[in-house]
Amino acid sequence: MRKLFTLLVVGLAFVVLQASAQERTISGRVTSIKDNSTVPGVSVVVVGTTIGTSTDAEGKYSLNVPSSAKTLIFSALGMKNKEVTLGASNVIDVALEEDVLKLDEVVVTALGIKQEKKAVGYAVQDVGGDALTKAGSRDLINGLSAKVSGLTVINSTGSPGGASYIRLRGFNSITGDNQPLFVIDGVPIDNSNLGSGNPDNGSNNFLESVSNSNRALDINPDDIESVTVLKGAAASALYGINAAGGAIVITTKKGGKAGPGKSVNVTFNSSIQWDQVNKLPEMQNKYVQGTGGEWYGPETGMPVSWGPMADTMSWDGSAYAWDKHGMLVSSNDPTAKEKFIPYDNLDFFQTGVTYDNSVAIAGGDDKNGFRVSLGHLKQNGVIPLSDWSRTSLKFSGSSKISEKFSASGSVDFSNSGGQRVQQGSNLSGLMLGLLRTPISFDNSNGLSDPSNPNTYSFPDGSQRNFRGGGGYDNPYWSINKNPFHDDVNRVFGYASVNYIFNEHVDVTYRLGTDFYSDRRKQAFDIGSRAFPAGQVSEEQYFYRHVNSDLLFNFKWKFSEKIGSNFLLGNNLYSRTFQQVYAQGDGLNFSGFYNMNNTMTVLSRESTTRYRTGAVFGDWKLDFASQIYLELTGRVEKSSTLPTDDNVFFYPSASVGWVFTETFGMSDNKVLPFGKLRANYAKVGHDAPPYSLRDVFVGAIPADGWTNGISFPFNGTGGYTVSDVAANASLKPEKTSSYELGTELRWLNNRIALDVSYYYSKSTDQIIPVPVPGTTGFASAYLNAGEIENKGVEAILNVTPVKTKNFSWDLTLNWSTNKSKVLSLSPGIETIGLGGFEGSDIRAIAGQPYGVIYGGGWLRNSAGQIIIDDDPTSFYYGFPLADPVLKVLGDPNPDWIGGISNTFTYKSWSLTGVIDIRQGGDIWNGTKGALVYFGMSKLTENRGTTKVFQGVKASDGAPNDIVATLTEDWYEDNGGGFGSVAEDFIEDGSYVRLRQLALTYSVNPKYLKRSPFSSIDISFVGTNLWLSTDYTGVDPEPSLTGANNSLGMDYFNNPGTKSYGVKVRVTL
Amino acid sequence: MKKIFKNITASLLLIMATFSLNSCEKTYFEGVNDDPNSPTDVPPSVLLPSIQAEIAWAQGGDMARFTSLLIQQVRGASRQFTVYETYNFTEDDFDNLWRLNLYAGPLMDLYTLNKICKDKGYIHYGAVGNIMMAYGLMITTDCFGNAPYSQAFQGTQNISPAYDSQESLYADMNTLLDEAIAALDAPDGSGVEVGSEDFVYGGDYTLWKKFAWSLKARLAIHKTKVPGSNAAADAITAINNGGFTSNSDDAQFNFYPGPTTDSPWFQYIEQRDDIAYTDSAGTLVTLTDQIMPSMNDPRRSIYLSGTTLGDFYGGETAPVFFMTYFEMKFIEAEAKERTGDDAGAQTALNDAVTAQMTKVGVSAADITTFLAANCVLTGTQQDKIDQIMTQKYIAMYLQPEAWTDWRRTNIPALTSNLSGSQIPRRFIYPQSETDNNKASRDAAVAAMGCGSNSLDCRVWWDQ
Repeated sequence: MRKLFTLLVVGLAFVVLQASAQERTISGRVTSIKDNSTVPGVSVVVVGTTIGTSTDAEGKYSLNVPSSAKTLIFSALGMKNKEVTLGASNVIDVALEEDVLKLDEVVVTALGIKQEKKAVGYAVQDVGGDALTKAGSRDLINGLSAKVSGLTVINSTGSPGGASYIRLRGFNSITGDNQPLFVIDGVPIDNSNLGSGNPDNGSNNFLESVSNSNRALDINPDDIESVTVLKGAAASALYGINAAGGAIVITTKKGGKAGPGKSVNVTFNSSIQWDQVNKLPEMQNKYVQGTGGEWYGPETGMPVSWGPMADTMSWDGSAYAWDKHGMLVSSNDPTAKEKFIPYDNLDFFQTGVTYDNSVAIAGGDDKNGFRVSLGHLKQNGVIPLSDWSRTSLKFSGSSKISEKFSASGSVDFSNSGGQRVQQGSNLSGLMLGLLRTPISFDNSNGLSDPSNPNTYSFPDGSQRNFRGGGGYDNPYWSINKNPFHDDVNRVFGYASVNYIFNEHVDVTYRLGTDFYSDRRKQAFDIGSRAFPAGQVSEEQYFYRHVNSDLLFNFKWKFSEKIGSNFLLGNNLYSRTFQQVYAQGDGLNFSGFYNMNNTMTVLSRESTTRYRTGAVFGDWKLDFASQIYLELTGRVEKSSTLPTDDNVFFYPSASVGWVFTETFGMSDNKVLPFGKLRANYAKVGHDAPPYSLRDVFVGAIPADGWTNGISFPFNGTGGYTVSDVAANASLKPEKTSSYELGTELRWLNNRIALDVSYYYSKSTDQIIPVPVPGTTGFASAYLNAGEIENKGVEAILNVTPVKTKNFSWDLTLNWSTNKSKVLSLSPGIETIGLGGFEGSDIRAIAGQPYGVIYGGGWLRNSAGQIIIDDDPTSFYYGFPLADPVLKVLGDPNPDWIGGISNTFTYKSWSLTGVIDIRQGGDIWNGTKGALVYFGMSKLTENRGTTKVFQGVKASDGAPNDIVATLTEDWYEDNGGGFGSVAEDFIEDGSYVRLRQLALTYSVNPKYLKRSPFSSIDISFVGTNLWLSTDYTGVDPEPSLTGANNSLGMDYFNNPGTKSYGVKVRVTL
Repeated sequence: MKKIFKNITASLLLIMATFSLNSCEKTYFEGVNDDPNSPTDVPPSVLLPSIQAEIAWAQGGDMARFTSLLIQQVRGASRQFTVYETYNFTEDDFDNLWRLNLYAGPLMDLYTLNKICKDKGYIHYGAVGNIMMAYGLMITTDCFGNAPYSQAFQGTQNISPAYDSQESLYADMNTLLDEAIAALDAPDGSGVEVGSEDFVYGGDYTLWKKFAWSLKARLAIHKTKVPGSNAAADAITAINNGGFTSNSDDAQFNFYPGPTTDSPWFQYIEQRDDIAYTDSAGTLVTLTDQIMPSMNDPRRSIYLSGTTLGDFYGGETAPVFFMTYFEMKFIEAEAKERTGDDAGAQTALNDAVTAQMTKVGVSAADITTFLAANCVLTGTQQDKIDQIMTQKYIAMYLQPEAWTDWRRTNIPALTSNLSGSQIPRRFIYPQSETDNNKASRDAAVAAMGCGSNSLDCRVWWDQ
């Protein structure tokens, strides 16, 4: 393979020619065909060189060109490019046509290569920087929500700095990362979502602890010029391994010539937004703490709320440590003084506020450009004492150093971090403690300041909560006494040089790096329920990668009509990741959160290194601008595969046919542009590092209910055989995909439609296949498993109304993806992806990826539920549980879509984005638990009778037994801690108003005398309206963060809606 | 032409430098995929301590909690334990125990340890390993029934290990113990001996031999219901050959104060606390609310502290007992009674109760009073066995072995918590075996004569 490339390249190298030295001056004027007006800012470039200039305010230009120069190309945004051959005359005036069809629109594809969109043979969609930030989005991934068809964005929590999960076209890797690669200016950057906590706990850390960020949050959206989403494998075949899930290619703003009469452009952005919780689970407020209809106060540690009815109770005014009003007695009791009024503990949440400010200075001239930007975002969350902030500073510059040589570079410094809140299955988890609190206990103790110690503790320091100091943390305790801080310092950037040999050959070398240190500190004070003796842990992550690209580009024409371009490249990528974790258990005294104040310290360290090297080629052919053909091939070697078999080859082929050109339809009034495209590609994944040899690991005996013990134990070290069996002959995973698509534009581009259909199949999945524990291992790395994905993506752009003053643009995008795990490994039916005992997320052969698996009701062959009709049985009159677990639901939606409306009237514009998800089940574990505790609204029916629908166990007759819905039932299979999860699977469909922005742009004529070029004021809102049948918090977030196991809600922190004001000023 | 040739050289050099990865390649990838975080070979001295800790956690964790619930030494107070109280167990509930706490944990480590010892000729170390293996297998099979052993631990070489019958496992365990006892007396030229890393005995081979003989006694007495076995006689033989001689011989695993070294019961109470030890909302716990008060048992205020466990069994340093001197004495008492040696049985019973009471901290005077009031054997042979086993039930508080004794003798008489259901007689094979080893699992279920993988099916020695 390599020899072939070398020969080919050597052959083409013969084509190199030298330039000669003589020059002449060409000048002229550029006008617009439409109205004969002059056009400023038009780029005039000698084809095949970097020699160029722009037209001035009067549309005039003047350029020194060498005698060998043959053609000039004139280009401007919104106009069709025009090439003019140089002749004898030194004056060339040009009239440019409006590019209504946007045919010369350029998209940035893999490796930062710009291509005309019409020449691209695969599905590509781009989003402009403005569209990302218009409605005040605070981060890049959020800004992409509902704008790109086939792109799923899931925010894992409404907490500030919480991770967002992003996915294109379904799941192609069963256990690997399915998120797309993030590329900035041609260089990959890291988007990890690193968990917190003792690394011994593995992925269980995502079920509890805090919601950590994914690193794409470090990017300031105001720095983004545009984002191109490369959806399928063909689009990212050039990136190889890391882009099996597609690629998000980001181009940042660069400097350039400032406007007429100015040396620099200055832009200020400032916004303030308020956040509120948008949805909370439905709770009951009728029954107080207790069991069996009797009140039990906090001092008894009573966990549940099955006490008497609130409106039969009063306070007795006695001196009672747990409530200012006294103890609760029946209203008929002689000691009753004051009628009991239920407490609303959900008023714990506050209105959060976010300040986002940035300033950018950009400037340059014909040859050079620079841009400096500084941004600061500070977000105070809806949960008191939670916050997150980001400061970013970016320098970028580019320069045409000579005719043939140009260079560019950029560096981005970013510092982010905040104070985060415990969530999930964790005794100190905020929602866990908050939602289980009975209505007869006031977590705030009647006080309004959330940091007042009297809300959560007594003068002696012991905790004040509804379980007498045991059970779960009072949410006020949790936010004050379980602080978590993280601090990330990051630098990423690149430097690149480009040398043009001649009009046929140029070479680019680009070196990029991304490194960051992420330091986290978590403390639990003495008395915290998760770690009653107290704990301080310090975690340090250090990440660094270096990416090197060497690209040779060859352009030539076989004939007048047939053009060709060949790119040959070499890529080297090296990554190092280090983690040091120190955990101090048992604080010597409370309130001082430092490792030095702890009694026993354990520590863990790990280093992971990873390298790949690849050679790739990309050959494009262009037949008369009608048929486009592209072939790519990449040969790659990875450090994680066995050394005698670690090379793999990924090809792709795409073809695009602009059939309207072929049939001479470009002047057609109805359908001036139509294109068909098809492609095939193969990409893949390699193995996780260090999976080839069996190892021993430190022993950490534990079980599902206790934290366990760890080694060194009493001064002695202990190792155990790792639970994961290695495999010395692993092969790479492969994904083959096919895509068909079409792009059609009607009625002068008033209607544009882009539809794609794709099918992909992934084989040889490297999965830690669960093996029976009796083999001595819990799982083994095997190449096994096949998974297929197919779907349709459609984007429709319509401009229903367009007049001089008013226009209405509408974009609809819609997509559906169906995944199916075709097979796993012989004898293996299921692989767990995450979750809890009794309801977890799995990959199961024959099912869509990531289904919810758990206990259901026992049914007969006709699907009817079987009811226990044995009068002596505890379950008499109640449905029976099926001891065999089964698939209960599918978190994958049937389809997702977005509707984007923009109305523009003179200086006003109104944009709204509606986000729709149809289907997608969620396991509402929160509700299940709250039913057990008697706090769910569902349990208001306690004590009532019910005839369950079903048939009797003994004879199959329709059920008529009257059963009473008692505490015992709800504490058993009627609630979430029994063996049946079926009733708590809900449909997570929703329609929401994702973004709304009303913008007023001050008319430029009013600003002529002022230093300002433009002033835009917007009223923005996010998530303002949500319609869903889901009964818990916002159905979008997922407990486990940016991870493959979606669809779980177990005391997730709630989602938020926000509204605010944004101002943008340019000088 | 000349220009072209000049450029070719330049281009060629550039291209060769770029694309000839061959020489640089090796250095570029060299060592990158060697795991710096986990070793591929370790000495036995770091495996033994983890094995002991893992078995202690398995036995003192889910196993002790489930078994003491079943024989009503405790009750379920909240959440999942109220569900277990009515024997509403699913296969999922036993997954962690079987898979992570036994097979893929200490049992695999034992297999690996024994292999290392065999390969390198560590005779004494291997003997200690064999004794621990026998113990690990015993607690596994006594709970679950048939279990893989001869085909287990082969990793991807055999991903569907067949289950060995309990009868053959008992034979294997006896062989392991016999070989170990012999090996401890044999010379060992390797120079590698068990040392202070041994949490149980600190490398004292004399005590290991006593442990091995006592285990053989326990294995023997389990067979009281197996036709054609000499359960009682074999037990007495083993004890006489070299069983424990005092409380200081006890094989136990100790814990230490601190969040990463606390005992399993302490951690459970602190972190979950779903179990009740006495009078939970008006429902009586058989051991602590019925039997102990009926005997004025002074241990009640040691076992319990208020409504929770006392320090001896529930404190940070509460040990997990693998096998104790007092248990061995109870075995001796029962065995002697069954062989008609009334006097011997009486002595052994007194020794057993005295030893256990001394161990938990009862005063000598109280012991004497208690013995006189409750430990005088009277009545028929069955009555006497009844008395012995009742005393053993009290003494073996929170020990999984107590459930084995109850299944064997049906003493004390217990009423099921769920009318219409019986008290479970085994743990069911876990979810992971259904998911990944179904054929072998089904064969085992059939071989045991169970209609399905049920809690009610009886193991080989429980017919």
